[in-house]
Amino acid sequence: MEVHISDDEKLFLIHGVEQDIRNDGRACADFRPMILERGVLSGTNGSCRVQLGQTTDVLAGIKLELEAYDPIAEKQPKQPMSFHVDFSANASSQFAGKGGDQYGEELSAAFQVAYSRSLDIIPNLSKTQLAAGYRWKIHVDISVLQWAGSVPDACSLAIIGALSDLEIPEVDVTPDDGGKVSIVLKRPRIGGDVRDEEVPVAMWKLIVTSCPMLLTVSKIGTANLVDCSPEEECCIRSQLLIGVAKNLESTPESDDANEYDITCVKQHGGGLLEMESIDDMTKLATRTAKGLYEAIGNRLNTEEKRKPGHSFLL
Amino acid sequence: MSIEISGPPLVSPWMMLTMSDARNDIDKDKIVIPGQAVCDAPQQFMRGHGTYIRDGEIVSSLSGVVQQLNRLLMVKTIKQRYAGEVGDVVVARVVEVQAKRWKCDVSSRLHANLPLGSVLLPGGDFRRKDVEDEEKMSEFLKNGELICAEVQQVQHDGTLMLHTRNNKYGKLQQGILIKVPPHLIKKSKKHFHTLPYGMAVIIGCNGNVWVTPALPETTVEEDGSHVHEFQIVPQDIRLVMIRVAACVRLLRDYSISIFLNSLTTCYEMSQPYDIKELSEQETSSRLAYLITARLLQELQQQK
Repeated sequence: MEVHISDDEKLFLIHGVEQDIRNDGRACADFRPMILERGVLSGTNGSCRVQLGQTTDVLAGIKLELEAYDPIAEKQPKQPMSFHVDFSANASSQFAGKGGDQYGEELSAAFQVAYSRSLDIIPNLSKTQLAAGYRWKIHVDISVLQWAGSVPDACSLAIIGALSDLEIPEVDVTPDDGGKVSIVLKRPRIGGDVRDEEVPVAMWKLIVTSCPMLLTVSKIGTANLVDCSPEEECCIRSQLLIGVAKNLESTPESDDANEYDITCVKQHGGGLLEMESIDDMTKLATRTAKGLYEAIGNRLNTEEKRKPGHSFLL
Repeated sequence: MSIEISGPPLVSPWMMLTMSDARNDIDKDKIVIPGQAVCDAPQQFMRGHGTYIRDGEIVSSLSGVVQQLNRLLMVKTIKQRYAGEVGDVVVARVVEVQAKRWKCDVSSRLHANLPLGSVLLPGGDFRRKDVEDEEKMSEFLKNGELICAEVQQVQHDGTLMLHTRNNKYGKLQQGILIKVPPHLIKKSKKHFHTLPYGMAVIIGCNGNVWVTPALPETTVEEDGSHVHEFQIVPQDIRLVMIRVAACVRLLRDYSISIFLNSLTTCYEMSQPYDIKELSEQETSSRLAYLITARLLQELQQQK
């Protein structure tokens, strides 16, 4: 869906934004109502679907892989997550063929940067390093099903949702011949006459309270906006992709500036920005991140478990 | 700052509609799907649009509602692209400027044509028909601009010919455009409405609803210059416009037909809520239910 709007409509929209009234009644820092559901894909280890304002629709799925690597060549443990963003041609005709590839790669790269320090940010992620030479690799695949603005924001929420839904099997690592190790799934003994293979594997989950988010902050006229609709995206002067992560070491008493870390800043599209505006935009991003962390925390705690094997299409 | 994350809706709009009485007056037998027989006694009827004859039976080729005109049976689809009828008021967007015409998007199957000769120049200027004039004319409407026009003619292939030979038609300026499915627009004598809240709305038959501070005819001065062009819309009027736009979206989401009465009813009933709340599931579904009830009641009183 490519949007054309006339100059007069743009003028009306820009004047409105400068008065802090957007065309759908929101203020500049407001998000459209969001929908988040987890466990939507039965074929994945963790999945999540996020809908923004009934239009932008994003689906994230995570697959685990037991990866062998050379411990001598890699001295520092590598970040185990990899991201891939795919734009469906159904989302918008501009993504047909190879149309969405470039934007998809750009976004995946941005997520890679935002999560580059994830071993420090997510407290129990280092548990994915099983033994010297073996680790869990976390493949995060995101599909954009419908496009109506602010896809990165929806993607980052979907990633957090999927990571919180992700179940990683517990394993027993035992030394084997020739300095190698053997890795066996851990099944807790529950007694009774149940065969070993029928006992469910013990699982553990990641702590996602501090996962980085990528937020888009756009400059329209003199105002800074979050969560732009397609019409608003036509009027954008310049846009920043800002990665924000909660700082775990900060105490609740410390001020906002220390509570959140900026993990990446990237400009999307054209336009020039003054240093001062960038400062304002990152401040807006941290404020928004605070609200988003609260909202997603509430939602993840209150969500009821979906029946296994049911897809979100039903 | 307001941020809210919820779960998927428990009640979808169409589920809500089946609960209300609004759809009860449609005979369930008259709703057909492709391949379904349209009537019991095919000998007595003739086949019309959307039907074909299979083994002596009249069968629907579309999914929709069966309509009967004397002995003619036809199937009218519920949701389809805008077809266009002569005399319709449409809100269209210019997508291409050609030598002798503008191509406009009217959310129909084909783009509509607006010939150079069918426009009224501001101030009622006359045109000389030469190449220079054609070049100047193509600057009059640019790509992406919105116009309001009337359908003058429907051609064989369904292409619409538009004209703006009246002061009330022409280029649209500041405002908000909301797209709704064309079948939701109720045809009436008037499609230009100046609402008592200090703004105006054009309900285009093609499903484009234009919410604007004032109707085009009032913004054109005597000498034809658009003096209000770059004026900032005052905040109170802007808020009213945005509320009306939110009302149109609400009516669209819940498949309630859009005409002056439904719009004003929705506007009045939305007063206790914030404009932002109108897009929220909980508020909007409750409001939509009340609006349909009110509209039905008014309809029955008229009868």
